[in-house]
Amino acid sequence: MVDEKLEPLGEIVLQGLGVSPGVAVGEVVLFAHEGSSVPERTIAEEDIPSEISRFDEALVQTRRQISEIQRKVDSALGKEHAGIFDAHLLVVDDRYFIDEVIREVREKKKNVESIIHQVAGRYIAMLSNVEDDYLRERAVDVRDVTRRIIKNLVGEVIDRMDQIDRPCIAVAQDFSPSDTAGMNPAIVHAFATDQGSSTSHAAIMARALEVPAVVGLHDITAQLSPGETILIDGTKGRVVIRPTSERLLTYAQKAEEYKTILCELGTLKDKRPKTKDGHCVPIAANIELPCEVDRVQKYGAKGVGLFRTEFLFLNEDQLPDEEEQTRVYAEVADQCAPARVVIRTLDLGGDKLAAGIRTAPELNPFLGWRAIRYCLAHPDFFKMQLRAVLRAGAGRNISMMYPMISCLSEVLKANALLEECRNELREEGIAYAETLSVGVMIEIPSAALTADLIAPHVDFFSIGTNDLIQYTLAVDRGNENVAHLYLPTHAAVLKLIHQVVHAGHSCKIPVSVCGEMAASPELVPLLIGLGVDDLSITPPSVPMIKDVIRNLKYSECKSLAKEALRSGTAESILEECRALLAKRSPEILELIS
Amino acid sequence: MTTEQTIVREFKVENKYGIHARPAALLVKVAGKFTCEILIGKKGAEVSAKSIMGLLTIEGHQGALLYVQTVGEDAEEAMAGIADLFENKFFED
Repeated sequence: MVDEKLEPLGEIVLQGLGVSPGVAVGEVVLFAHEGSSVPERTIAEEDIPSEISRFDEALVQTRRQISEIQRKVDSALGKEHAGIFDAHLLVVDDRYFIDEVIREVREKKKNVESIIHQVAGRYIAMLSNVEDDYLRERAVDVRDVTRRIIKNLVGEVIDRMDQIDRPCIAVAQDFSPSDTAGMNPAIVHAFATDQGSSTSHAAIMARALEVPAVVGLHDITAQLSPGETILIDGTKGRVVIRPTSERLLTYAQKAEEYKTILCELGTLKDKRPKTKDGHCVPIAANIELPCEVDRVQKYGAKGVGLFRTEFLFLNEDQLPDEEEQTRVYAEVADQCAPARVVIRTLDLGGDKLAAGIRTAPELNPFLGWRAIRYCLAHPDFFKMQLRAVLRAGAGRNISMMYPMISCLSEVLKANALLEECRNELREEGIAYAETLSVGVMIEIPSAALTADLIAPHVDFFSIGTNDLIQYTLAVDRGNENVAHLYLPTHAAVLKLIHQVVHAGHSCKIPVSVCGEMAASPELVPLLIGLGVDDLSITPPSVPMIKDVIRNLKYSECKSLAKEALRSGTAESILEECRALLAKRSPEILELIS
Repeated sequence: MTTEQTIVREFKVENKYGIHARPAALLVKVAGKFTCEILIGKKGAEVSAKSIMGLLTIEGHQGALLYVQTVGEDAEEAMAGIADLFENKFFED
């Protein structure tokens, strides 16, 4: 494109939600659906002349393209059809239109493509008031030409993943399952999106493919152009557009260190996650796609502590039936055997289900109709999954847990449905797991506070720290203005975890943590000290956490937790955690900070 | 002072599809030959006949009455050129 020589634009750092760890640097491929928005950015006073020359060059380019099309149409279809392009060519020479755009670029100090989009929008709006149907169609001409000019300014935008043919970083407003279906994972080195959360499809795919990804960046698609260089730090949730050479160097050094340490950690694969004083903290893996099972063994995790089942309901054109679900669950369990696989029942809102059932968009989906709430409201749909888990569990080491539990009665209702399923299967003469271990996710404060009431009815607790923190502190960490208030070491969070552990142990049931806290080298000693029995984390994090555990003493974890429960601020507790890590695993502390 | 003059006329759009893209292009091409200012449209909502984007937005369906004003040295010649287009139904039907 035309702009490199004109605008030496500076580095821009954006903070989003890191949903798949790692760092990648590459060239941007902008992925957009037909009719998606035109990038808008504010420009500095001194950039106005270069913005205007970009416009001039785009007009020249557009004129050339239209003349070429006109010539082709003329020879193929005749002068009459080619005549329409006379009008299009005149747009490119329309002094009134050009001056209007230039004047607004000066006044509004916005990039020229966004101004053209606005100006064209006004003409099109005027046209919509025209009464004659045929004349209203002139909007098509206005849109056609102005889009072409904008396209020449913005650069190449891809609308199908299989069009990508060179190494790149894919950036989009969001990726749908069908978008990523045609993607070649060997050349897409990272993702970044405007929208999304840690459960969005792009996040799930990125983790499964082990490519770094940052989502929830709001307007990244507007802030960059195709072909620009971009750095994605999926570990920190940071994106750097047009990184400076100093920054690239820093990252390159870090990447090198990271590689060396990971290599060393690789030797831990078959070692046990046991502290120096003999306390063992088993580490299982969180997985989302069946193909990730390979990575469980590769990174030395013991079984699967969280098998998310959402993918089954996102990827298909239709919802998977009982047979399909049974087959998937059984396959994963067979590959992990003899280690255990914990299947989490569906953790989605109705709005996300691919086919069949959809609900209206909600004002506040995090507090809305999702997970167990949705499932209990659709017992037939839920029972299909429960039956599949029971069937797959026959002769296999499978457990199951319910997400988003907020009170005991939900557990009782779900268990009653499970019992119904058992009876049905028995009557139908189908093999099923007679004794299936059933647990609940503790991720809502109300469940944590009543864990003692829930414990007698379940076989284990699994604390989902991401949601527990968000709900306890009323903080959406995807919101940059409040993200700093998302504090895993907040005393309220620690007290809740402590209480859940106490309630579980009083009923002799184990308590695990499957949130991101369990993959944090700084916070794992604290969790162990609080009495958490085991951890479940993304497979690539396993070696590092295992190393941290092997360098610790259980006794010092316990004193750390005791201190933390007494101390005041989240910052001071985090300081204590860091001090312990600095003492026991200094190279890892350096790596993550 | 130069011989600045203003001419005003009203034309009825006769061609079947009105002032769509092709007639609009013809208007711009004719208007572009003259130095004078040429306004066209519904009275009070005129656009420059030299701007295709403007022309594409006017209410120029068949049967519509359009008000044309030419202002400048060659106003007379310009009006004659415009009249030629309207009278020949923009060479369409």
